[in-house]
Amino acid sequence: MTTADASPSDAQLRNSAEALHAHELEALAREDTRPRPAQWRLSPQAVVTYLMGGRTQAGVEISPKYIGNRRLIETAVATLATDRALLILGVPGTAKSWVSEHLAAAISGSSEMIVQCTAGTDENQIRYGWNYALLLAKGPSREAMVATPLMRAMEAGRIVRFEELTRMPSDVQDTLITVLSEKLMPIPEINDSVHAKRGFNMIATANARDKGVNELSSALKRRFNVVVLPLPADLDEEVKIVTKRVGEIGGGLELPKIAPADQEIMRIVTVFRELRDGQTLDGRLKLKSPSGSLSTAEAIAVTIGAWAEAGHFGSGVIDAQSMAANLVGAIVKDPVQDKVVLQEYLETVVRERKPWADLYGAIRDVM
Amino acid sequence: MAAATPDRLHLLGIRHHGPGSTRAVLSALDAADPAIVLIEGPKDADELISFAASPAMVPPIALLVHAQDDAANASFFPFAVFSPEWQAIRWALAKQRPVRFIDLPASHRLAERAKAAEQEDDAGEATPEHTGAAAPDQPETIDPELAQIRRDPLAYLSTLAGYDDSEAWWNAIVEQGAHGPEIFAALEAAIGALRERIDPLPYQPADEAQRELRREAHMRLEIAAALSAQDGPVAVVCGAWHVPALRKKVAKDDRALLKGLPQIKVTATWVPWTETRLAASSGYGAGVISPGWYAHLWQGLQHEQNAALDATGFTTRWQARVADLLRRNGRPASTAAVIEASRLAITLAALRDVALPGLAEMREASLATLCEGETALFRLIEQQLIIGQRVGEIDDSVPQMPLAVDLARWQRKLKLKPEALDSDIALDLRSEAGLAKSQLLHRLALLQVPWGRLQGSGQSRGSFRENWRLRWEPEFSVRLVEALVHGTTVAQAAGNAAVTNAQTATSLNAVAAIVSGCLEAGLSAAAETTIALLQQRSAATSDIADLTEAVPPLAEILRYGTARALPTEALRLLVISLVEAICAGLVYACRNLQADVAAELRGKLARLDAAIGLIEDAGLRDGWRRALASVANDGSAHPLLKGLASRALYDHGIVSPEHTALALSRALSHSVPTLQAGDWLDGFLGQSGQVLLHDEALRRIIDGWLASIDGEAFNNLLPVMRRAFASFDRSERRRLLDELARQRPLAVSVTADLTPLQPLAPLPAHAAGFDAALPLLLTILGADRPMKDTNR
Repeated sequence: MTTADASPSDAQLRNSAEALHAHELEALAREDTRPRPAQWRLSPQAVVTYLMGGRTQAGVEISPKYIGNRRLIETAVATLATDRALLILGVPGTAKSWVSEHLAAAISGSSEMIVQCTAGTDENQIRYGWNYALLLAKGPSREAMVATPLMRAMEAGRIVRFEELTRMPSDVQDTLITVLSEKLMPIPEINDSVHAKRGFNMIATANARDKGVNELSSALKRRFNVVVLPLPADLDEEVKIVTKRVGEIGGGLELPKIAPADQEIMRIVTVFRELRDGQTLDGRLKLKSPSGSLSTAEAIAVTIGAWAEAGHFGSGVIDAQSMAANLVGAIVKDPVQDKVVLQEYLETVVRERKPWADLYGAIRDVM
Repeated sequence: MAAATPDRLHLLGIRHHGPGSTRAVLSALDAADPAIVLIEGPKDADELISFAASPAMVPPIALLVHAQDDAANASFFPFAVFSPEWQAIRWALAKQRPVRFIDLPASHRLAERAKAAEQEDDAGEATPEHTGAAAPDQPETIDPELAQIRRDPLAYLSTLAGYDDSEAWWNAIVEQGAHGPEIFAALEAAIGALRERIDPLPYQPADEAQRELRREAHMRLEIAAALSAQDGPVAVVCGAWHVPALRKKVAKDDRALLKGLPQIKVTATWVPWTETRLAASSGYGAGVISPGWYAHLWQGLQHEQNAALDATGFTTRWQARVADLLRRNGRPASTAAVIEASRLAITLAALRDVALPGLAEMREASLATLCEGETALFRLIEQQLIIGQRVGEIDDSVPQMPLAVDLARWQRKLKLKPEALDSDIALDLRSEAGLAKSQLLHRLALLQVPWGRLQGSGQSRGSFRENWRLRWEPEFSVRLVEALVHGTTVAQAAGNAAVTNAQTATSLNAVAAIVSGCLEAGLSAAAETTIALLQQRSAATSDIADLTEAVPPLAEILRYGTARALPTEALRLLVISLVEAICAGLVYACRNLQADVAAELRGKLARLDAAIGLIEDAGLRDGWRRALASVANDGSAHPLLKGLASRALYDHGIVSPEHTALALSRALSHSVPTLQAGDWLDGFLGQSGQVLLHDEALRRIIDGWLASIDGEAFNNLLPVMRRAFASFDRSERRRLLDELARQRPLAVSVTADLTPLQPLAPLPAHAAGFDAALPLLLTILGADRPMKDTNR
């Protein structure tokens, strides 16, 4: 398989991280004189710069990919540099996959060696499969094997990503143990094994709290270094994240240009944070929390939705009307309980905020 | 006077408690080989320096200087093993060079404090006078930046260097960096530049500035004296901030500044200090954020006297400590994880361009590997790891207060080691050693030295076990000095302190507590004296509430105190006389009460009732029951207390269930105002549904009464009922309902729906009433709605 073309393609709905930020990676690599671990495209320091943003000596602006604690990213990069596997934990919507994608892109130049773990994932999808026609014709041999992303990454000395590790059953997770501790994958059928090349490593993401996840096998956990990504620390940080991501996604989707809506984003994030934390920002009122996780990712989705609605059908400005339906849709996941929660929030908090009168009216109309 | 000759004078500017500074000081001392070493420390503690040579002196320890007549007026000067001052003293003593403290004597400061305290006593808000030069008019507020520079100039320098975390900068450059004595010249130049800018500016508060000037003048004079007395090199170990000022020649003003300072007599000694206390800023001003980390650094630095620290060994030792602590807290921590943690820490340090992993790198590495990302797990060991829990030790030859000596003797004898972090011990009072330990801890508690605190079930004296949580605080040394007025041994001082406190105590309750304290501490003489005191006091008091509180602790001792040798007879007489006094006045005490007072008294009476049950004395019990009966039947006693009394009488079997049912129905009849009825029911039921659950007869009384009242009355009583049941918790209410349902299976099987009721067994005559009341009863019991709403 050839690696993905490293230039953004207009036809693709979403371009991979390495394609989208190819010029940044190139600019960083050009100036990077620090020692690089085997097969790494960049030095660890440059990888951190790529994720946290900055400016190269030549003046190329590096956009921040992760907004938050730099130390966490440093720990993550250092982990990968020690050839230990990295496990990124966090509640839903804390940019786990996002960070994992960019780490892989910056280190290996490819973020597309990826295994999506589900309840239906079995060992063959992780280790290797067989081309049954060949298997029947010639018997077990290397040619008859179908490589998985894991196997390809081991052979190429790249980073492989496991998305939502805990969604596959614990006993299937254990397949990874030998790979992680001995860096080799036995193929008992042909008395052979795949040895990982230098540069091979694994980034797994998982969340421990969501519905429908399995326990993380403890034997496996010991073989990972764990970095826990927190929810954004404060309102400003979260607004910054939403604004930035909305700009990127909206640009990619070619949504109609509209006026900047920082104030509205601030309101969306405020609503999300207050409901998520179960209290108003000033800490005066206690609120009920809805059943959904109300993550930053969902706040981004609401803003994009509002933008699309405003651009295509509305006044061209994100306003209360365009936000209301999206907000209600994001918050009310359980038609009975969450509706009560939102109604209570509406009456006790939103109504009291004078400048929010438009939002109060709009949400009431929707409900 | 000769000018300070720079090549003979070695000013070693340090940061207090900085291991990197310590190493630099030691190598500078080795290089300069001074004839005398001068240390920034209180001059009045000079004689104590020589004790530092003893191997039995184990830091952290502190110099304690206190006013002779008032031990509470004291100053501490703590030293850790990695403190530059401590190591410089040890260096000098080992080489038999004279070593002296040169800072302003602490007696001036203590005298000022004593004076200030006096003035406060005398004149209330008299403005404090500034001695010496006239203070400038109180100008604007203190510039926070200036204040910061003065407080920690080195931290300020690191901010200038562009670090957001000053501690990290300082640690990386000075404490962990590989450098020799040249660091002193560099620091002096930097601080000199800072002080040139800052010294001319007004410094707030003014008296603080004045004190700083005096200290530096005093140190200059001492240095000049040492220089003229000695031909050889003179080394001075002092805070880096002072170096430029000490470099100056002695000025004429210096002597003038020091004239006429107030003085008092002081006593100085060495006392044990704790690592926990080192972490706080105290005494020396500059506190250490993480003594445990600094101790580790110092250990590492000693390992490699001259070369740079060996990163792998240094990191691994730390991570192994983390793993060890985790294991001790019952968490698995494998050697493999230690290896991974070390590798990660070293890689992180390389990534961040620091030569050695700092505390931050170590922490993040431990978190990602050993703790598997769980912050809570790391927090569990953080204090032990980063702060530490060691308590220093003092050589026996150091002149100590007799009380401290006596305590040390007991500690050795009973094998109780003072530690700075909480440790739990369980004592068996039947064993001699257990009893002795318990008595020692109780005696110390009487001396206001709460080294041990009684825990949980140990607090009720209902067993021969006591659980204590021990934690030594450095200020206990001071408390011991203060307690010296009471005696010279722990037992003697505790006894005398107890008697004195009992004499001055304001409430009866406090005296009773002291009595029980004396009994538990095994101080028979003091116990007898305080019992007599209590008797006198109780005879004079008329406050029943006060008396009721005094009885329960004494009754418990009387009942369970057999593990100790006690003056039982005196105690029994006392308790009897107390209870008699209470019985006599009980009815009157229950009349005309405010709701809150009544509620308070209710709790006290309930405790007293339980306590009297413990005393095996039939006459006493009868008296008490008579008193209860008179309350229950009294017309003007508070209904809450009447309810309580009725219930107590029922519980003791004095009043039959039938009569109790009558009393209940009487108290809740139509004519009684709802509020009073509610109070009565509240008092009667107590605050727990447990009894109602287990006592079927009682349940039947209430059940029967409830079933027999008519609809209108029932509606009127609803709020009252609801209030009385509100204090039961949900599970109690639920079980109560189940209990009722068991008697009438069909009736309660469905909570929301009203299916026709078909009694399975023939019910008593009042069954119909019950069934009709059931839906409302469900509402009362709160069983018909989700949990959240029942709290509204």
